[in-house]
Amino acid sequence: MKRTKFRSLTVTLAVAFLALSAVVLLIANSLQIYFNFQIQRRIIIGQQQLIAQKAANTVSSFVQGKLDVLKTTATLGNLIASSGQEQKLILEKLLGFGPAFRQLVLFDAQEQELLKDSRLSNLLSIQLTEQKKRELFSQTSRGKTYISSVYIDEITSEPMVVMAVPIMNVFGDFKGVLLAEVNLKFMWDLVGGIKVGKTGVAYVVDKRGDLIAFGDISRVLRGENLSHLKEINKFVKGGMLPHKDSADIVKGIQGTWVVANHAHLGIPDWAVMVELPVREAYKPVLASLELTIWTILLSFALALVAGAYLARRITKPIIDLRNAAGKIGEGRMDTRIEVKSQDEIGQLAVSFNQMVKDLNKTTTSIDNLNREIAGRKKIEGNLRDSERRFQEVVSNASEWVWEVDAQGLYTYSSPIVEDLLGYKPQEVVGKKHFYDLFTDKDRDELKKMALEAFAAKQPFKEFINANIHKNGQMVWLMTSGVPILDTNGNLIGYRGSDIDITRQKEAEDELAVKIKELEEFNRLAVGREQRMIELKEEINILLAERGMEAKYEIVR
Amino acid sequence: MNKKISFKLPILLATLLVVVCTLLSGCGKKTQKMYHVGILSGIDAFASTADAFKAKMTELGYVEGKNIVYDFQKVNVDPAGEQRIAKKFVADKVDLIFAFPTSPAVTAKAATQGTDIPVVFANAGIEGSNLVESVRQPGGNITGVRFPSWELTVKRLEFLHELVPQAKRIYATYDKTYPGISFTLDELRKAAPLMNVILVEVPVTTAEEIKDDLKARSESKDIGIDAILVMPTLLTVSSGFEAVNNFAVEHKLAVAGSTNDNADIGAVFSYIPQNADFGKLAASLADKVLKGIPAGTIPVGTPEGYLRFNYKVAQELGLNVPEGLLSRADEIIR
Repeated sequence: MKRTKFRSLTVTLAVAFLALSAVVLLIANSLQIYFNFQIQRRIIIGQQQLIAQKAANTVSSFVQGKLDVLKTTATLGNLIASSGQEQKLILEKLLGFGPAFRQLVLFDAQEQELLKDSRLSNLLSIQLTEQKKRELFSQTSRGKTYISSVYIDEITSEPMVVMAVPIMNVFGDFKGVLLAEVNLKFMWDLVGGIKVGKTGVAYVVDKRGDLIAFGDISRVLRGENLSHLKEINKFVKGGMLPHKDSADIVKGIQGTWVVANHAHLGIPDWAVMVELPVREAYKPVLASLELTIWTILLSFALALVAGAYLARRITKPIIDLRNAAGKIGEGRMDTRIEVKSQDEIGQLAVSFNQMVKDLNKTTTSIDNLNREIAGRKKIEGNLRDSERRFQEVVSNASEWVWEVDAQGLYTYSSPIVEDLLGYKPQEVVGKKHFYDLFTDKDRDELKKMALEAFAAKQPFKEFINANIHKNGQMVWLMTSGVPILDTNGNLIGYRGSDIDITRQKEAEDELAVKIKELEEFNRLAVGREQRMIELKEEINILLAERGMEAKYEIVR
Repeated sequence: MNKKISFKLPILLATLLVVVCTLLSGCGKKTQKMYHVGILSGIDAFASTADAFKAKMTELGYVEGKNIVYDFQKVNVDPAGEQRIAKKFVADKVDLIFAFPTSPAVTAKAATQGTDIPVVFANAGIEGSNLVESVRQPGGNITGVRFPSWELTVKRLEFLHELVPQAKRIYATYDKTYPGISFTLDELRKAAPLMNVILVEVPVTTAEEIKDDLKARSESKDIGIDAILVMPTLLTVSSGFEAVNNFAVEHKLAVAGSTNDNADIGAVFSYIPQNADFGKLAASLADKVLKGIPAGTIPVGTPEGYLRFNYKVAQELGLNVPEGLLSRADEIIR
C-alpha cells in the first residue's frame, strides 16, 4: 500500500493562521510606513530649503557686507584725489570698521600701489601673485568687483579672500582699485554656527567644489575638493537653485548617508550645502519603522502562539476522535470522548459516542460473530440435508405431497402425482385447484366441504375422495392436510398428502360382494359343504392377501 | 502539559511586548553624557579667560551642572602647583583639560602623555614652547588658541611709532628665560630699522634687575630711552610693569602695554587679544574635541588683537594722537 506522508492538521492550521496574520500585518504596516515616509520627505525638503537659503543669505550677507563697505568707501572717499594723509586715515578707519578686514591696499589706474595698511605688522604684507593681479585689474577695470579664491594664511591658518572694488570718477572712468584682504574666519564662525537639525552640518564650497568653510576646519585647511559628492557635483555643473521637490539621499561630507540640499550665494560664486543625516531626517519614520518591526515580530510570535493554540483547540477533539477510533479498532468498545465544546466538533463527538454505543449494542465481538456464522452455516447445511432428504422421501414415497393456497390452487406438488393422476407436477402447480380433479358428480359437494374446513383452519385426516385420472379413470385417494398459517394466524394455504387407495377400495368392494354371495349361498344351499369349504378357502386366501388371518378353519 | 503552555505563552508574550515597548521608549531618552573639564589657570591676569570659555561653552550647549562639570584650579606663576593640578586632572580622568597660558599648557601636555585626555590651551605662545607641531596640524592630542605674541609685539611697536614718531629709542626689557621671547625679538629687530627706531634691549631675569636698570637711567644725565614697549613676558607684564610705569610717569614717556589692563594703569595703549576672545575660541575648539574630532587635527586658533587706547594718558603726555590710530582702536578710555 502506498504510504502518504502525514501532515498534521494542527501545523497546517497554525501555518495558515500565521501566514494570514503576516500578510495583513505586512500590508497594513507597509502602507503606513510608506505614507509616513512621504509626509516626512515633504517636511524635510521644505526645512532644508529654508535652512539652505537662510545659510546662503548669512554667508552672502557677510561677503556682500564687506563688499558694500569697500564700494561705499571707494565711491564716497574720493580716494585717488585725496592726499596721502587723508588716504591713510580712510584706510585706517576702514581697518577699524571690523576685524574681518586684515589688510587694505590702494592702487591707482596704472596698477601702482599707492598705500597699504594692515592689522598685522607691516612686515606681513599681502603678496599678490602676478596672475591674481592681472585677474584683479582685468575685472575691476571693467567696473566689476573681484573676489579671489579662498586661500589659507600661513601664520594663522585662517582662510582669506581678496576682494577688490574699482574706484571710478563721476564720468565712470576707472581711476584705481581698493583691495581688501578679508579674513573668512568670521564666516567660518557663521557657518559653524548654522544649525541643521541636531546633527546636520552646513558647509560652503566654491565653484570648483573646494571646501571653504566647514565646522571641521582641518578639512578646509587640507584644501579638499568635494566635487565627487553628488550634491556638490550638481552645483559645480551649474545647479544653482535649491531643489524643491526632491530630497535625495546621498553620501555626505562625512561619508555618511544624508539628505542634502544646497543654495547658491550669487556673489561670490559659492554655495552653501546643508546635510542632515538620514537617521535624523527620517527619525520619526525610523522610529515608527522600528516600532513596527517590533510590533510585527511580536505579532508574529503572538499569531504563532495564538495560531498554534487555536489550531490545537480545533484539532484536539479531532485528534481525540482519531485516537478513540483507534482504540475502538483495537476492540476497546468502552472508549468514550469527553464532550466539551458546543460547536460542530462537539456535535461530532456526541454522534461518535452514540455511534460507539449503538455499535456496542448491535455487534458482538468477532468471536461471537464467527461462532454465529459457523452456527448458521451448520444450520444451512442441515437445512440443505433436510431438503434433500425431503426431496428423496417425496420422490420415492408412494404418497403424493402437495401444498395449496387459501383458494385451493396447488402451489407445490411432488412428482408422484404423475403416477397417481397422470399429471406432471408443472401441470398441476399454479394451474389446478384441488377440486378440479374431483369427479363431476362429487365436485361441488366436496369443494363445499373442503372450503368449510379451510375456513375453520382445521386439519383433516384420511378424507377419502374420488379423483379423475388424466386418462379418465377414477382414482380413489385418501387425503390428509394441515393448514399453513402466517405469524398472525391468517390462513395461507394447506399442506398435505394423498394416498392411492383405489385397489384397496376395489378389494373391499369385491370382498363385500363375495361375503354377500356367501351369505346368500349359505342361506340358499345347505349341504353344499364342499362348495362351502372351497368358498371358505377362497375367503381365507383373499384375507391372507390382505394380511388378515384366515377366517375359516378348513376341515378335510 | 501542552495545554498549559498554550495558555501561558500569550500572557508571557504580551508581557514581553510591554517590556520591549518600555525599553524602546527608554532608549529614546538617552541619558546625557556629563563632561568633566579641568581648567588650569596659571596666572591671575588671564584668569578671566576661563569665564569667557564657560560662557561660550554654555552658548554651545554645555550647561554647567547639567551636562558639564568644571574643575577650576588656579595658581599664580607656580610651576609646581601647575604640575600638581595637571596630575590631579589626569588622575580624575577628566574628559578635557583647558590650560592657559603657555606654562600650564606645556605642563598639561606633559601630564597627559600616554593618556587619551585631550588638552585645549589658550594664551599660549607656540613659538619655542614645542607645544604643537604646526598651527595647521597641532599633532598629538592637543590644540588651542595661540598667543599671537610676535605679530602683535611688532604691531605694538608700529603703533607706538605712529603715536610718538619722534621717539627713536624704544625701551624693551624682557625676561630672557621666557620661552619663545627670542622669536619675538628677532622679528622686532627686523621691524625696527624699517621705522628708523632703535630697540634698547634689557634682558633680565627678575624685577629687581629692571628696577636697577631704571634706577641707573634715572641717575644718569640721559635716560637713554624715548618710549617704552612692554614685552610679552610674564615678568614684564606683572611685577616688572609697575617699575617701568613709575619710571614712565616720572619721565613722561609713552608706554605701549602688553596686557589689556596695562592701559588702565598707565600705558597709553595696549594691543593684545582680549582674554574673552581666547576663552571663546578655546570653547569652540573644546566643543569640537568633545564631539569627537581628534584635538591634534584641529588647527590652532589665533585671536584678533584688541587695541585699547587711553586717551587721558595720551593727553597728559601731550601727545598729538593721529585720528587714524584712534579709528583703529577697539576701545578708547577717556
